[in-house]
Amino acid sequence: MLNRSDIHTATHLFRPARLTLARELRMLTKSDLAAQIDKTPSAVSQFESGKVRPDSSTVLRLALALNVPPGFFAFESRADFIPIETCHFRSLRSASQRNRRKLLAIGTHLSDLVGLLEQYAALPPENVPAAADSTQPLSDDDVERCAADVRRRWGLGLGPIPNVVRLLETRGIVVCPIEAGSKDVDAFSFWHVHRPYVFLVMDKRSPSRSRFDACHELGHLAIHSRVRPGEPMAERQADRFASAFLLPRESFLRECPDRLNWDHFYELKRRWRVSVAALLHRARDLGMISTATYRRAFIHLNRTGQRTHEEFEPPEETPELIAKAVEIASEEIPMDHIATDSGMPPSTFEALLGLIRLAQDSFPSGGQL
Amino acid sequence: MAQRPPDSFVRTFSPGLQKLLVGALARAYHAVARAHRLHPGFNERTFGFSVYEVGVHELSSIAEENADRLRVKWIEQAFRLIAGPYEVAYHKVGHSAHDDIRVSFPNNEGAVTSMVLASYLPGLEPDLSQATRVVLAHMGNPEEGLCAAYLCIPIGHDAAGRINEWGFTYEIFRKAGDGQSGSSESTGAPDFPPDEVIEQLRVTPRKRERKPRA
Repeated sequence: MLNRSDIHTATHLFRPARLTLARELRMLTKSDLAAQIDKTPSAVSQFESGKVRPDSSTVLRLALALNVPPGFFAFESRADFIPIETCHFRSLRSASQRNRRKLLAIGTHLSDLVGLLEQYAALPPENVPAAADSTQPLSDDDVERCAADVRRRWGLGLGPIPNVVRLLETRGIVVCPIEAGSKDVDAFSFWHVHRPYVFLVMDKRSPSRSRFDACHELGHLAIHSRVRPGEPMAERQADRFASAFLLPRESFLRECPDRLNWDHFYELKRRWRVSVAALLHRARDLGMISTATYRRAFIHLNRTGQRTHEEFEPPEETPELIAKAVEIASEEIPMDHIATDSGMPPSTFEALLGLIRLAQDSFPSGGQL
Repeated sequence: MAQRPPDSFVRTFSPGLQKLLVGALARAYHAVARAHRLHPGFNERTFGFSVYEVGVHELSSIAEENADRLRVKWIEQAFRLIAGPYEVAYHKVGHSAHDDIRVSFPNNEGAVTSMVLASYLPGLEPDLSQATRVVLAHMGNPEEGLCAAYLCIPIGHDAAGRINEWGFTYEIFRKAGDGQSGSSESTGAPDFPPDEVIEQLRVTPRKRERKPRA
């Protein structure tokens, strides 16, 4: 990236998509940004569409408003902007557009960073089986078979998976944490430049839920590469995939009680590292408990507060892949060069690395992505 | 009759395959027992019939998922699993784990005559290495579910066509007396699958393909 002071060169090489990226990262509308730089919203639109090139004083104001160095606007990305229509968002309907676009902006930056890191570090090759011809509608049985197929192709048997995040990373999936404060997005995933990405809220209070979310996203990657994101059917199928992947039918049926025995379900939770809510759901899907029993169980979970805070949570799982790649790259080039060459605003780079490297300790409170 | 199983039998019906078969049977019993509790009109006869039908479904499923070692074959209207050189029929032969497999046989007239070892002459030691047909014999009831399962080589039948003699029986599952499955060592019951092994993440320096910085 150019130096912070190279404002004229940045103006000369101005890339409209970088303006959109910075604005969405800061969760600003065009009107918000226009007000901050004393321009009209249509002027911002014209800058972003490339119809008009901003002059150097406008570039400076944009840089100040968006908290990026001017050189940010001239950076040639390794990866294109990730289109929102290619991403599977968990909780899509409740998620705000601004939040989703911000997360996608982070995803675009992360993809750029991965492109840079791959020059220095050999990451595990992508190995996500296309488990279904996703142009065809899938039945529940189809989804069960797909989940079993992914397990088989990954050399897994029918037992509990001790670390889902590591499993995904060893298969070449880049897993990135989302700030725990993200209220309306649990997880999202996409393919970009031939590599799958999964973003997860790593809620320390509910690692079992994060594990399920990770498998839900794996389901999208494995069976929905050609399905329009946001389809309710696709979300249900991804849930079914996650259930079947974490709790294979063949082994779970043998262990699951057919009556509402809480001690037994918590025993299963400790063994399979799956929330009791998900265990009950699986038990109902497989006909082990009736819908009435299932409802009764959830009334109990709600009344006792366990719907949000379950007991006997498994250990938290944290991503390692990016942190390891950064460590290897930093032996070749200084960390500040990695930050510069990744094309991210410095604050974003620091916050993203903070999330990735310090996930097992605490999420950074100061850095804002 | 104390006979050693043929080598091909041991190779074919590995512990892994035994677990698959027992799992399918247990699921069938579990599902049918649950349905039975829902209405008093169900009885022992409907239980046996339902276990057979649901079992066919479960066994077909494991055959589909393990096509490298199992496949389904329908002979007229009889369900068979093909495992290695063996044709496996599937029959309920008793109600509890206390039933003696040596005197427990399928109750199908004529349907299993073809399963009997053809070369065996009564009174002589059967040559089990010639056997290509095996019965997956199971015992259970609506209260306890699957109680026991065996792999048996039939060698004799009565005038009505019912099997009435096993040349060899091999226990692959027996429910322990306290209602819990025992360990595989003591009773032949399958163990629950252990945690999967997830390998360490490998990220290594890439020296040769590194591009020079601009």
